[in-house]
Amino acid sequence: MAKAKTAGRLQLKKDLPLLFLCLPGVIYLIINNYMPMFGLFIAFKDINYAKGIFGSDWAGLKNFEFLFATNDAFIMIRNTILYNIAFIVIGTVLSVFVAILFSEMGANIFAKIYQAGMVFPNLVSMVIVAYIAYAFLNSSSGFINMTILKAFGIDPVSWYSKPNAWPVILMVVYIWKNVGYSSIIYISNIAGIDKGIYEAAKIDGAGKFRQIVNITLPMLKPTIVIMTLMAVGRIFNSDFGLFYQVPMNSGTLYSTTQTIDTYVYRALMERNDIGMSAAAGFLQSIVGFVLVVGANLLVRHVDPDNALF
Amino acid sequence: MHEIKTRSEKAFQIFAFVFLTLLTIFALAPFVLIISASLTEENTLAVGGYQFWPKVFSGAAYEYLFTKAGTILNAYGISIIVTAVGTVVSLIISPMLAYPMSRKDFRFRNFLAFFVFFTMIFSGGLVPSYMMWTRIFQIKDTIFALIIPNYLMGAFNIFLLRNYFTNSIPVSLIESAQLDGAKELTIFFKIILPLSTPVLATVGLFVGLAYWNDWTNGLYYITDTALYSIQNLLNRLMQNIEYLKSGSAISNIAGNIDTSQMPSTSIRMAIAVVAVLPIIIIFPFIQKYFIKGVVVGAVKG
Amino acid sequence: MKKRILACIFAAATLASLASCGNGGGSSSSTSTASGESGGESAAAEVTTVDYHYVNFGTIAETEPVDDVINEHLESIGSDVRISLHMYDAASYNTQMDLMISSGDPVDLYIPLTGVSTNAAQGKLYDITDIAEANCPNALEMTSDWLDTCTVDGRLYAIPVYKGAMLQNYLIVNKDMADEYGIDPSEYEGQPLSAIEPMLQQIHEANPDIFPVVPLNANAYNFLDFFIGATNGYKIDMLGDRTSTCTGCIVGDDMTVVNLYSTDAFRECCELAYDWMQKGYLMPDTSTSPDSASTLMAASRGFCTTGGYGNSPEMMETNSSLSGNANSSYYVCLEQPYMTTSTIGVTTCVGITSEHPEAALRMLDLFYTDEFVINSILYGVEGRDYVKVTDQTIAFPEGVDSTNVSYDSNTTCGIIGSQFIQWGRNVDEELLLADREFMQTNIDNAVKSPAFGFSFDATSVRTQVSSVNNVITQYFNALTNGELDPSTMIDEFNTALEAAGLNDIIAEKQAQLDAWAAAQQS
Repeated sequence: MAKAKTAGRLQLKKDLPLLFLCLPGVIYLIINNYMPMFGLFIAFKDINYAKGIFGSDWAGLKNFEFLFATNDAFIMIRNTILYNIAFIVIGTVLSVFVAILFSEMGANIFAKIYQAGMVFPNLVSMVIVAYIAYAFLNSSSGFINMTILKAFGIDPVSWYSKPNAWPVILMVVYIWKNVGYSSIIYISNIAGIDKGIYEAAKIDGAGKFRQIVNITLPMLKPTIVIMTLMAVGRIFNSDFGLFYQVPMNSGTLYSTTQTIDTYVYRALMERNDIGMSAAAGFLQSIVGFVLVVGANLLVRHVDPDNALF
Repeated sequence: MHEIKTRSEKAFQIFAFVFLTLLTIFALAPFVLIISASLTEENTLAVGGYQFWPKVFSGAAYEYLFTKAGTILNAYGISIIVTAVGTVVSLIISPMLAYPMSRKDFRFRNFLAFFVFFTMIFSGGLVPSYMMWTRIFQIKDTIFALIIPNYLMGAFNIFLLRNYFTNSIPVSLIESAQLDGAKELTIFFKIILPLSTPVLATVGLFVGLAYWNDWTNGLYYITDTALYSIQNLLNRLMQNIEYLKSGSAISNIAGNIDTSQMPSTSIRMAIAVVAVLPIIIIFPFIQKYFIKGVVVGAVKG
Repeated sequence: MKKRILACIFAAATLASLASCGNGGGSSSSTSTASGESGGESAAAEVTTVDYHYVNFGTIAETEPVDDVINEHLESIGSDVRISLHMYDAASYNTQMDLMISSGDPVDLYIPLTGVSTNAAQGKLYDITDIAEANCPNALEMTSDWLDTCTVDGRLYAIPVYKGAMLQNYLIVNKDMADEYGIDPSEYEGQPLSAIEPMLQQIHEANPDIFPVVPLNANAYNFLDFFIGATNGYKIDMLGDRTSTCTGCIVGDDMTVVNLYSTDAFRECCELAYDWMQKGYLMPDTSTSPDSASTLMAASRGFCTTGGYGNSPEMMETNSSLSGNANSSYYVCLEQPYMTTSTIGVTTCVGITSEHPEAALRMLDLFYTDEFVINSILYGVEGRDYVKVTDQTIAFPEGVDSTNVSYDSNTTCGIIGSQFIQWGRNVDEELLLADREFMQTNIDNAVKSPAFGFSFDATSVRTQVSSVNNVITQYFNALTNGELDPSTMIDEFNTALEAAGLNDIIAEKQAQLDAWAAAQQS
């Protein structure tokens, strides 16, 4: 018993410097993130400003009803999940691919310019992106209609009333806006790989392709796993600007552009009901939470080093 | 180090070059469009749409912005201060939290990881945050309102850092330092951080961009025009236009308002250019840190 | 463990702050009675500063210098209230007001843009029934005909803005092009929208590259909006809603609530739009275009547009830059508008968190009676931001224009106090006076809906309302802009509306309307 106590004290003494290191960050998260979490109650309250958040009446699950009141529920949940899966898969593959290509180019002037160029889309606000997309897509003066389709002798297409085209259009916009940015994560990871390993492989006669498959990709695996786990946590969320601004809020396109976030925005635009919007947020969080905890259990089972927690 | 390259290596390099060239053109083409639109005469934009080269050239949008030079320069100043301070503080406290999480011999590592992860998924929402920041901490209409809420530390970046510490820094390095009698803090500041420049540069870039791009803190916590950041300025203009167009309640009143008094398309594009410019200028200076990489062996010896 | 304790301390602090905000409404009454007693002659002894939160659709400016000139004036006339102005842009206004009220920050006077009944149901508004008569008698008297629209369950929650609320259904035509093609738009005066077709046909045949009708505002604008609900031809009362959010309306004198989107009026409008779209009179992509009439007409790409304005045609022609900077437009009033609760859309209220609601109302009264106060809020500081030209008109000072003026909030004109004591900038005084006359005549002669004054409280059916709103946004713009074929899509639209619970809302609306009508009778 006494021995265990000393051991515990020793361990604590050992942990103390590390605990000290995390202190500022932990305090920040407590203040910035945990203190406001009493707001999660709002999802279950019928908020009356005169009574305050705690004084307002309980609403049970009434605030959640609007999310499932129509058959739109199926469409918006389907869209949100499918887009997210596509973004995770295609986004990751492309980002890793681009990162590997960059690491091949080395640190020359082109690499610098190219990288700056690819980060740029992330700096442009979605409203501007929507204008740009419109410049390409509109039926009277858009590039695609007036230049590309005309060249092939195809009649102009009214893109803003063609729901089937939008999964592709939104995918392209997503890739344009995000791939350069997220490839930086992988570039920095590749930069962190000990160059000695490649030299050794080269001496063993491994070609470029084998080096990538046998060294680079395995070294990137932990990052890919963590990034994917984090993305799964947001599988019920969507980039509002991408799905609202870029399709120009066109009603005809709802079957392929409506996501949970755009639905909530449109549904609550008139009443501005914080209880109902909190309910939507709560639902998104719970689903994300359950999925990540589940996926994380799986990862921990297969590959404990790469689990999120 | 200049060894002879094999044929497959050369072919791969050429492929990389060509592919990335195309991708860069794809990424930058819209930017050319934005610049061109900002330099096009307004009526031409309405008739001919956006072109890669202005059909009828006009500097009117920039002349208009020049009349607002005082406001814009002030907003630049705010943005630069906020971005610089926020990024530096974040780059100090984020690795400090992430590093212990990466240590397998640290008892609370999993608890901490969950503690951080939870903040990524759940949020109390705007109203409670606003209440807390304005009533307890009283930061409304101060520069702290642009720096402290939300962006100082994010779960995403913490996990990026932890992931790098776990996978790219050999445990043996820490152990040998411990055997030499180095204290934990010394190990962290003298060994771990210098070896982590690629990920620090990445996280620094992400945090910096987040601060530079942010306009929500400004929207909620700032009513004093002297504290508008450049994105805040831009977004207020844009959002106002979008809002009036959105068909929401206020557009009823706006029936009386000429949207012609709103900034024209070319001005909006010019503001977008103005907002992006500094990042494009600063970027090469950060870039060398994550592109160059580190040679672990060199530090080891 | 330490962390847990820390967390508890923080949580307690947060709770304490919440508790205090919950009391906001209650504690205010004690201070207000104190200042209430001091009203009248002994005013100079004790003054109360009232916060006024308002929207400016232009550039946000520093307000302190304007506070100073107004307060100096208030002191000189012996008033016991002082003002503190808080200007917001449209995009942040609702968010700021919600945040401030929900966290208990005092909000004395603000504009409930989402409607009085919604705001009252959410508990954001101070019940002014018992204090209004004593503190803002002039505002009450001026707006007495309209007060019903601000009343919920017999209690008064706001005062309407007194303005040219009867928005005329304007046809706005590019003057140069009309003259070029020998078109005289004035022949359509007083006619329904469908009558202008020959003019559109002529333009389209003469020059197919010109869009005969372009949207007034960009993106999500619907050119038929004003004409379904706002004309005497159809006499539709949307019972507090707008055409793009209507969850039940009444037609004519029949007090039966029906679905607007299944009415003949709606079908006719959609058919007209679809027909015109097929004939090439409407701009394709009207629902999504980011270009508005001002740019399209200035670039000679658009010929005409429609919109609702309260001012007289003469005023519009001289004062509006709608058709571009150099060339001007013809403004022709089509069918007369119809007066419903929705017409009186803009009001001023006292926030539930106000610490001195009575003083707030005394300030509000000045917005209806004191020229200097209201015009300073609109135009800023005399000498710096404007100079007087005549008794009722002003101009920019030497070297000042709209791009470099320090303070200019003239876009606030339609959401504050009385429009009839507001000065005109760069207009002829005679024209300004005639314009006031025009607006007043329209108000006096307005044809009123039998349900005028009724407003709907959607709280009990809010789930259905949110689903229905979503369905409307999906179909409405495309249908009214002629982009969808009404012969099939209107039915699909209505099926979707019913699936979203529209009938529940209509039933609830009918019950509330019947109760309201019964109360009016007694």
